[in-house]
Amino acid sequence: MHQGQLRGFILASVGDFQNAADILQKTNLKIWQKADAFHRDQPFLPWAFAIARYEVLAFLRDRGRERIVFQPDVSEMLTDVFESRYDHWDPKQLALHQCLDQLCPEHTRLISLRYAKGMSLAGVASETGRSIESVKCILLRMRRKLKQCIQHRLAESS
Amino acid sequence: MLDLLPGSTDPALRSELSFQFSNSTLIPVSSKPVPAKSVHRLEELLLLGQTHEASEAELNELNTLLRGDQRLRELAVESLGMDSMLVEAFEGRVCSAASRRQSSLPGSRKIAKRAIWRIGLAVAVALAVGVGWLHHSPQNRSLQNRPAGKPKQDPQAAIHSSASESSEPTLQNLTQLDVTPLPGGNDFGTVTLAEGAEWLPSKSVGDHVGEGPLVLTSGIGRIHLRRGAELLIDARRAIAKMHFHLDGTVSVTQGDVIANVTESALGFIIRTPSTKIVDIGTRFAVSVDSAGRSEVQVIDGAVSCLPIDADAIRNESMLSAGQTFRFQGPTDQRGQMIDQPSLRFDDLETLRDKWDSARPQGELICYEGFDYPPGLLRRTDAGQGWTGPWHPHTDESKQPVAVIRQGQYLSGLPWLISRSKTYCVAPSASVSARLLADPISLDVDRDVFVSFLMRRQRLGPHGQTGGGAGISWHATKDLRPEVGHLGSEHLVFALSADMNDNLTASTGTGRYNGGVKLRNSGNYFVVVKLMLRQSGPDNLVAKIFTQDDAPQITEPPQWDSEGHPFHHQGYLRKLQFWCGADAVAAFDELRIGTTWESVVPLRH
Repeated sequence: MHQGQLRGFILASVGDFQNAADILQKTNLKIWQKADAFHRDQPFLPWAFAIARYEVLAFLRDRGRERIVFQPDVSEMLTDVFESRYDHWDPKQLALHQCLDQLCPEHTRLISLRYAKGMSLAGVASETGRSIESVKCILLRMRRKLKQCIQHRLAESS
Repeated sequence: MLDLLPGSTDPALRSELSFQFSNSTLIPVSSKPVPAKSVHRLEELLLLGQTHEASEAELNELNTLLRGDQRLRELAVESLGMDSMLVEAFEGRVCSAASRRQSSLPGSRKIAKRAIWRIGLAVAVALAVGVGWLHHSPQNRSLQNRPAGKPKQDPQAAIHSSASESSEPTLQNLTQLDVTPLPGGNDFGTVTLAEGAEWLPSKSVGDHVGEGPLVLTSGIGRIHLRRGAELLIDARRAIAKMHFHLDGTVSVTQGDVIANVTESALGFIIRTPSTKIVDIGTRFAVSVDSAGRSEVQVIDGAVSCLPIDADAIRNESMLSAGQTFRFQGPTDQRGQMIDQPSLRFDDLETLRDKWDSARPQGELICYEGFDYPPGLLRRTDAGQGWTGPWHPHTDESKQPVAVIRQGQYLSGLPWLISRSKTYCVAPSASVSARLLADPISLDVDRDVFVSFLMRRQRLGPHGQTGGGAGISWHATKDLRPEVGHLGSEHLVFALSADMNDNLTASTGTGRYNGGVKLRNSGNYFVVVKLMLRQSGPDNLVAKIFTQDDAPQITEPPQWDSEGHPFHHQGYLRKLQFWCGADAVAAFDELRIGTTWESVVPLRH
């Protein structure tokens, strides 16, 4: 139910899919281990975010001088922003599903290679016979289009 | 002026995002909206960073940008949030399909599973709504199922392996296109029964219920929600006012409603003026009067009542079967347990049972779920109501040109009871046939219903010959072996997604009638009614459903396609599924029965 928000929180902390997936996995495990400590009179997500934040810090600590997308101070600033605006997630997610349905098959395929299979821009380019620049442009354009579509649908529903 | 963009390689951006000291706090010089160019650069850098394709300089630029501007941080979080949703959208489809398959166990297995699940309810209650989501998360599943010492499986890799295990080489490119998102659309459910019901906006049985308000001014109505809940609405005592929300929840602001929730809808929420009632697999009743006073009565299972304006859950808010909670008004957040509910819902329950028992169940004549091992379609006698195995239409003794697959190409529909995980793919230019164990006479007055799941993907341009696929029925004039031999059959009925993407009904060669337009490569549930008449012409009608459009539980008054009436004679003996040279098609859950109800097994 809250997996999307948790993934979003972690992705906003580290900025890359692979590390976000690893941290999400570890966070889920920790949540299970700590389930007994969860009080039902407290909201779930802030509690889960606190666990995720700890896992992100452990990740940043272990990475040391290795290259990371967000420096620790930036990571913290982004998670602060995320924690203050993660509500209305479900209507947005629902709207996104509807908007994805409107994409043409080729663009849907491109988006799926990136997000379902986690391919790099170079990988998608190779898979689709396009240049990396072209893939980058299409992805950025599609994301903007989806964003506008989501806003439009949310405005309609409200 | 302090240069805070040492890593930025974009001169325009550097000039747009200069900063100065002001009262010891860094603030942007300009309060103008973030220029589009900066936003685009930010999105580009985020995109590169996500898959480790950003250079050291680009990462520095990204971090510097984000350090310096709160608005850019907000945009970055928004952007990464959408990335997360996109990952979730594609993963969700895999999980949803798996979940649907798990909850589609037929007969006794389903009952046994329900019993186990009921026992597990106590655990679910203990963990409450908060951690309940873990039961459905892909990560959790992989954690739980991974044997100790084995390397963990990346969720993305899991999707990969799931697709590759089930992929037929010739269909590889089609699998890559198979990315239809989860159910969407403004369709929450269907009005399935009504007794003296007057709706605002006006509704009839079979009409869909979308997002927005719905009022029942009189009588009793029933709505089956696509997510697996059934609502019985009673307006005999007072008007019932509801609102269906985009997030799948339902508000009851006035009236009496019973919710009957299946496992697939675990967590279904009804809101009243003062509470959110979260279902934990159960039947419960909600009654709200015009002043906002409400009662929640649990008939079976358990629910959790949450204050309407809080996420928190109080221990004492958990209600189990037989308990009733009363809230004195919209501002009463705590409510209290009462011994004697003011309303009895027994008569509504009785009425519901009466409705269910009055529904004609009919008889299932044939069933084929293609529950075979993946690979070439084997020549076995699986399925029910058939004689002999599937074979090419030209030779009963040979292997059919069709394959069994398991994967996402033809996914089940959330409201349809499916018995197996596998389905059959008819490759381009192939025809597979099977004989009915009991041929159906065309010279009597009777209706025969046929349903099946289908996906047809046209590979060539719209209108190109060979782009169609479908199912056809063939008759023989005499059942005696020496007369009704193979090859003596003639086409009597056919239903296809044709090369022009029409749902075409046919009553024989040269007699075609185009119906509704279909989307290329959509997943469809098709119901066909063969109307066999002794003295008059025979005909067929068909209706088609998508995942956003659950079927009615009773035969609908309107159909999507209708053939040209034609008088046939003989015996309906053979069924074929076929695919043109410029298409690929998949079929599953083929049923032949005597009533609509017998071939439309809905989850509710």
